[in-house]
Amino acid sequence: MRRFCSHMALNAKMSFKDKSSLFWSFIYPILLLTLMVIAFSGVQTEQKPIAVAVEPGHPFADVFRQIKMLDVKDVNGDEAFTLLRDKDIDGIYRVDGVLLVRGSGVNETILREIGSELTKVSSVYAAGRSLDFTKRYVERGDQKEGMLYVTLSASLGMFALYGYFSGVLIVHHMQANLSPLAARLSTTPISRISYVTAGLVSGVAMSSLQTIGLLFYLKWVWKVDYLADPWRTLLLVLAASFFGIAIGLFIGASNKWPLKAKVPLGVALMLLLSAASGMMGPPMRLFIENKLPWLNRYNPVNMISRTIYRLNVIGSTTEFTENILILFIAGVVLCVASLLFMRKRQFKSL
Amino acid sequence: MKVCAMREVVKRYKKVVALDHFNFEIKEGEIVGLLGPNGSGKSTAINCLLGLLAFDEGEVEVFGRRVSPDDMDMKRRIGFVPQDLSFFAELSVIDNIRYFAGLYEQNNAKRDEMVREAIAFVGLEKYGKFAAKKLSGGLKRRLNIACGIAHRPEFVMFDEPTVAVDAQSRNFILEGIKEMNRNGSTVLYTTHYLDEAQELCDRIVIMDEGRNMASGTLEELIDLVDPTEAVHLVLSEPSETVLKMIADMPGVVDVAEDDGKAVILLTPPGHHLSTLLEELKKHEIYYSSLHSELPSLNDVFLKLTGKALRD
Repeated sequence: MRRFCSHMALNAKMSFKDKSSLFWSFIYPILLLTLMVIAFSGVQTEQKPIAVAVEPGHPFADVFRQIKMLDVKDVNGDEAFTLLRDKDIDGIYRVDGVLLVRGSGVNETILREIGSELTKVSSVYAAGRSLDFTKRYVERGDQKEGMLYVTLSASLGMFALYGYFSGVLIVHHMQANLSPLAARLSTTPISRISYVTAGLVSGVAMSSLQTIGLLFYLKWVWKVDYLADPWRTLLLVLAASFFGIAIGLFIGASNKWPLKAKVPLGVALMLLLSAASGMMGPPMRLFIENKLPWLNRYNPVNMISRTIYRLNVIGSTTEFTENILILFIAGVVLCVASLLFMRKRQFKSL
Repeated sequence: MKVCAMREVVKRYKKVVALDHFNFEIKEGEIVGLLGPNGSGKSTAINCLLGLLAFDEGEVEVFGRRVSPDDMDMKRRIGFVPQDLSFFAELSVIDNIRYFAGLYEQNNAKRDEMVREAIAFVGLEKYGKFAAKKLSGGLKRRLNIACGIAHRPEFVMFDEPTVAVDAQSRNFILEGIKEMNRNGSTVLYTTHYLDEAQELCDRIVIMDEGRNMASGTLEELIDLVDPTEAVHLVLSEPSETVLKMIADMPGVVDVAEDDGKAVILLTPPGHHLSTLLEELKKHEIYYSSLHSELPSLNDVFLKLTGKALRD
């Protein structure tokens, strides 16, 4: 246990004393998120209730009224159109179940997500009673998903996987054929399982701290609240950090590529996954979801970003448990595979 | 008692034979040098002893047991100072040594005592709180050594620890190794510097192309070559007569003249120089300068391998 603690202390000290690691883990994400907020929404103010018209007789009218982020106007068809045209409201929930919006934006995205969620819930509990579920209930038109939330969520999904670099480094310190330091440590009575576990625990802690720090930064500085459901969000962040480190361990242990190759590989992989998840803008994500839906379903960045968005922006727990389980189980599988790769202690060449 | 032994060890890297039926052993309390040019197989031999490298044939034993990468008891008793700097660059000198010592000793008080000793041993007292990456090259080498010896190992392997080190740090390192040996550690030291091997080692193993070309004390190795001492004299009045008189003096086996300078070969080396000087005085043969060259390891290496070590 004492040695485990000493490995933990070593990892923590290295993380805090390595300035480049601190930059890429904390400063760079803050800079990127700040740029995104400024670029896509100007200075974000506190979310005001979204004005929306709900036509009388709408099956979810009462539900809409209970949602705090909605400012529901009970108006009829023509009056609602006038309000929409004059930009007094952001959308109309029509009695036939269709959502009518004026254009694209954050508010329209939120209205669409709320409509979708209620439709899904309704399909489970009240199927066939009042709605025709073969019909498309949200008219997207030329509406694009809210740029700010999509890019921020995708970025947070990417940063949550930054534990990858810790994972690669843990293996780099343990496999004698990968680095002189590992060769030296291999000549000592070090317990590999203890070192790897300590690295994993401290890596998860550091990576989670970093992501939670970013969430607080967004909330306190830019009033973008990704902490509306703090406990589930924390659980998601922990699972994501664990999964990130597990990928790092796997890529670190499964080949003899130098660290100089594994780090850029991780950066490229994460950028690619986060781009598919919408970090470069919603069109890419929409394209992937239309053409290669399976890719984004199991794209870890997308799983994290969608879940964090749903939890905190819409207040929905859809896919939360499933995604957490997928990330956790995949992480365990990757860790076990990595340990199998790391079994070897004597090498044909160093 | 034998601390380690390698018997008929063969190690191949694809078609390259790094160790070719290599044999050698070290007895308790010795400082043994593995001397050879770069690529001669010194580091490969050490890595086989450490259990890091799998070999194709032969036997390797440390403390009487076959080497195994899982033998934790063996690992507790050995120390290793690699050629490459191998420590945590971001951590301080003290943190590095404390971490490595902590891998062997769990008692904090004992571990801290080890750390203090190791820091004093390599002379890094002033630099304890410095980040390792901020030390100069020579000081990094010293830290590299401290991390390998802090746990007071019975058997320490140094793999070219003085490469790219300034003279002051080099002397410090060599004196430290002698001190460790006096305190009871057995030492294996690889180098391609002749003077280090001559100065430090009780026994020297000359390696080339993965083979043990010869081994023994410095004197034993020198006896392997035609042992002569070359005395270079700048004569005041060189002549055939003078050279003939010198050739007849005791211990002289050959005299040659080169541009007013006489090159006199004496055998056995180290025994006849004073007699030669007396004879020169007696025969009133005057000279303006003199210097003597005893046979060196390089002569031995040249004779055994057909090439100079520095090649």
